[in-house]
Amino acid sequence: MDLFTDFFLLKDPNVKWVVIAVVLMSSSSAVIGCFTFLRKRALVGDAISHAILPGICLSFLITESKNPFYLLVGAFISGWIGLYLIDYITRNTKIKTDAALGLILSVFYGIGILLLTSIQNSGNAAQSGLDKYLFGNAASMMPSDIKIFGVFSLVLLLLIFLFYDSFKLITFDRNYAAAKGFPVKRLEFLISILTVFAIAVGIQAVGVVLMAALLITPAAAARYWTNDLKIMLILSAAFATVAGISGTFVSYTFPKMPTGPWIVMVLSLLAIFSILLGKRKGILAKWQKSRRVETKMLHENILKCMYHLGEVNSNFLELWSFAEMKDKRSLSSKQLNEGLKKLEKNGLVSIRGKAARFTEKGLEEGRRVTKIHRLWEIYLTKHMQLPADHVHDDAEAIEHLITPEIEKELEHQLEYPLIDPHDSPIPYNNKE
Amino acid sequence: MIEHVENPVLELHNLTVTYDNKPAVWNLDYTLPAGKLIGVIGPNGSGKTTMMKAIMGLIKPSSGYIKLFGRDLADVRDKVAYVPQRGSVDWDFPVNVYDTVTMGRFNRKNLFKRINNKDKEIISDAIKKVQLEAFAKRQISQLSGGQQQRVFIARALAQEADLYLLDEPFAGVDAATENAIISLLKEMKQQGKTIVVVHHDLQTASKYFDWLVLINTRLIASGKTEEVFQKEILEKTYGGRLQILTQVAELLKQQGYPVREKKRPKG
Amino acid sequence: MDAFWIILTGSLVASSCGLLGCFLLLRKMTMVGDAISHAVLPGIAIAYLITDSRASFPMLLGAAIFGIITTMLIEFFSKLGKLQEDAAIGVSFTWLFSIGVILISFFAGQVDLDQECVLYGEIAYVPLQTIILDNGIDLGPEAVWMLGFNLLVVITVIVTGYKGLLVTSFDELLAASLGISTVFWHYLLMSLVSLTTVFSFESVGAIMVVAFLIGPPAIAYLLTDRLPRMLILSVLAGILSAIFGYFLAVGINGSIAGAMASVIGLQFILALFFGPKSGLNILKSNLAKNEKQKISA
Repeated sequence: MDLFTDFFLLKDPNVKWVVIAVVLMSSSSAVIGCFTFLRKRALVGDAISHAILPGICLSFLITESKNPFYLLVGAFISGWIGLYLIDYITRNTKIKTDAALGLILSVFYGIGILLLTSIQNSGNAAQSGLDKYLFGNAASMMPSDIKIFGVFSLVLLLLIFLFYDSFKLITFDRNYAAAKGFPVKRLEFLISILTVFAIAVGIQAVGVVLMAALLITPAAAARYWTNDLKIMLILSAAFATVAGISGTFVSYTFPKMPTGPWIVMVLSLLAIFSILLGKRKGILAKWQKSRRVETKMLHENILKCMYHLGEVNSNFLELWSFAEMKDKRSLSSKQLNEGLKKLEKNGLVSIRGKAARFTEKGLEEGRRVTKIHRLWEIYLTKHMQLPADHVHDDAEAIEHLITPEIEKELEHQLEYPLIDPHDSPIPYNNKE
Repeated sequence: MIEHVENPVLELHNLTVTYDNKPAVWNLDYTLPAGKLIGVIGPNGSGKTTMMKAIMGLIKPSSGYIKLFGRDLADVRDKVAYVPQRGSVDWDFPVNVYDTVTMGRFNRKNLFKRINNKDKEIISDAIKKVQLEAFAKRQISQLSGGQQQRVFIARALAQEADLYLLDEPFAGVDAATENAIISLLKEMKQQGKTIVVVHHDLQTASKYFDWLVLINTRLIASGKTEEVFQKEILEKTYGGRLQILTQVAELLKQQGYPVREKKRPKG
Repeated sequence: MDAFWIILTGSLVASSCGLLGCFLLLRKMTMVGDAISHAVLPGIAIAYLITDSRASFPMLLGAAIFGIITTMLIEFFSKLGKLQEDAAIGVSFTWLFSIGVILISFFAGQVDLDQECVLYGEIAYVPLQTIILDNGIDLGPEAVWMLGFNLLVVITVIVTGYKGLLVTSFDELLAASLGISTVFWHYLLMSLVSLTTVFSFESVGAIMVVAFLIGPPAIAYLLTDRLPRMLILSVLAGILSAIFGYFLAVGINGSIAGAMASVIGLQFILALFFGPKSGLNILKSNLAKNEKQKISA
């Protein structure tokens, strides 16, 4: 518990700076990652983060220092070369994007590992800690590094903020942007630069292998909650912040735990949570929608069934037993019970023991559904050239869907017909 | 204007296929006669390819069914050959013309066996029929668009089917190749084969085909060319969508309604 | 002798991966291979923790299970969650990989399986673990036998299933219309990739598997336009990089797996600029274009 309060009250100044830096680093990656995600280049981010490794090792070999500035420059250059090669290979050979990505990813990484191990085995004492780029360990960052990375992340966020409108436009409608005279090529170039940059900074926190998650996962999670890019960027940054703080906390509490995997772990759980519960296209939301549809269909079917029963003797307000209804239409007892109960609550029917009758409102509704069903059947025979014996099933489904506007349009186009293809009358409202 | 036939080669019964719950073709219901060269005509996005894929069992219909030779596809697969659109494959694939045509001889039964001499004869024959003997050893990306189309047709010929379904075989093909292909198709018809061709050029449609199926998401007409190739029907086919249908399709997609209610056995 | 065993191990991995990779490349599914090779890590870690040994069978089982989980997770994200495919792959494998690293870190004291080894393997230790029969005869490294067995399985499946793999890779629509199950061949290939990853993991690490799965096929793809030749060239390129990679690693005292991947990159550059059919050979490709025009005219 002490650990907990110590950490979250930011008592330790060291911790304070680490947390701030990690939050800045991960949220800047998460924000630029939204553009990567929306431009369907998620795996490019993965390839670049691997391609960065040799740059880090080479810049160490050349400068013989672990000054984060030099390492960043090296990382940026080799990440950029990787990106350029991917583009070059896909444009100039028959090799497709996926293979070009995989090739650059593995070869650059292999070169990086070769250099890294060679440096490690060379006995150069200064090298220790280079390998933290593999998995990232933000918790053990030096105060001087923290400042540099924090500042870079801030600059990154600022640039995205400044170019927000142009980025948005080229992400959603590149052709339109080009037509409007936006410097599309240069803006895309800028996004790429910022992406490589974010990756070069971000691998400090999560490492090379898991960097892709920092770009893709928050964006993917945010997408389940909103259609608005601005909100998506903010949510994505928020998810990354939560994950960044949790990851650092775990590392702080258990020093042998690496920060990166925990950040990714929390991010992934947030993403799964969003996929299940997200209100835009989450699985639960979809399930609820289909439940609502099913209920509506059941209710309308019961009303229509009662209307059909009434039609026989033109006595629409008669009391119909459940058995009679089930005889007319295949409904299970459970469906019928539940449906009628709900309908009574809505004031459409009244139940007397094992029987039910329309209220005025219910009768109107039953009439409406029946009318739409029959109008649609006529429409199908006329415009889809279907024989009369083929139209019923289709109308059974579509009747639940027709809005009052479409209903009007149907009546109008069909010129207020009197009977449907099976010679049943079209029940118009008296007022019509 | 829908003409139904006795003992149809192909029968579509109330066929509806949806993408993302939105109908791409809606309640197609027609029958086709045997031994004819048949054109499927309709504007872009009218569901021609979707319909072909559904006939070949490549997409599951949301409702309705298809009968080939009066039976299910699974029973008569060997009698049906399908030529997809040229753009549906990667032409950089490391195979040559001969290899590609050879794939027409593959089926479930011989998948683990070697190609036998009879197969080889059929393959060479098919390549000869489309006049690509000189190119048999050439990698398929080194061919012109018309030659690539002929490779696909040769592959279908190698299947020795009775019913051929071709999706846009004249797209991106020069006039000479188009003529060569159409005379080949006519020759096949003489041998009693039925050929269904998705086509979008109205100019040539009446010249090429004995029978036309006109669709625009829904079925507009199906019948002998001389009877259905009329101004009024063509205007209906190309005259844009029906507003109500478009609206209802959009609603289906938005609200996630099923195109058919779940059937419950009565009683 | 050690050099021989190491190169042989590398070559065996290269051959299996090179063969399977050709089909992955042609199906444009190389990144799924990449994802699987990372995502089997938690399976290996769990097997290791439960059995407390590096016994091959539990590891195999654990990794195989996670290979399947990966494909299922990707399907879950993309089909049920409607997430775009590339993001589904990215989210799945990073999550599984992070689970693996966390497990290993958590039990770091008890487990002699470290994070680095996961990534770039310990091919140098391969010759140390040999199979010795009761009568004292040394049969050579265990890894060589396992990888040899794996290669045998891969070759058998590719030779007998060549037609199925070919037609489903080239034209799924045709295959399906012929009644050939595209799903079956897809999963067959994926299981072989999982199996190979698992067998190769310990000796060469995840990245090496990816490099061998993608690099040699890409090189071979530039050099030929017939599938059987592509398969053979891919194996050759893989073996060459195993040989030269070993000596490079010894030369600069670095990771053998990393060096092998580097040599793959070098070979690719050579193929890119000097290959007979590389798109880059501008003069040649212009000639080909002219020729094409003549034909179509």
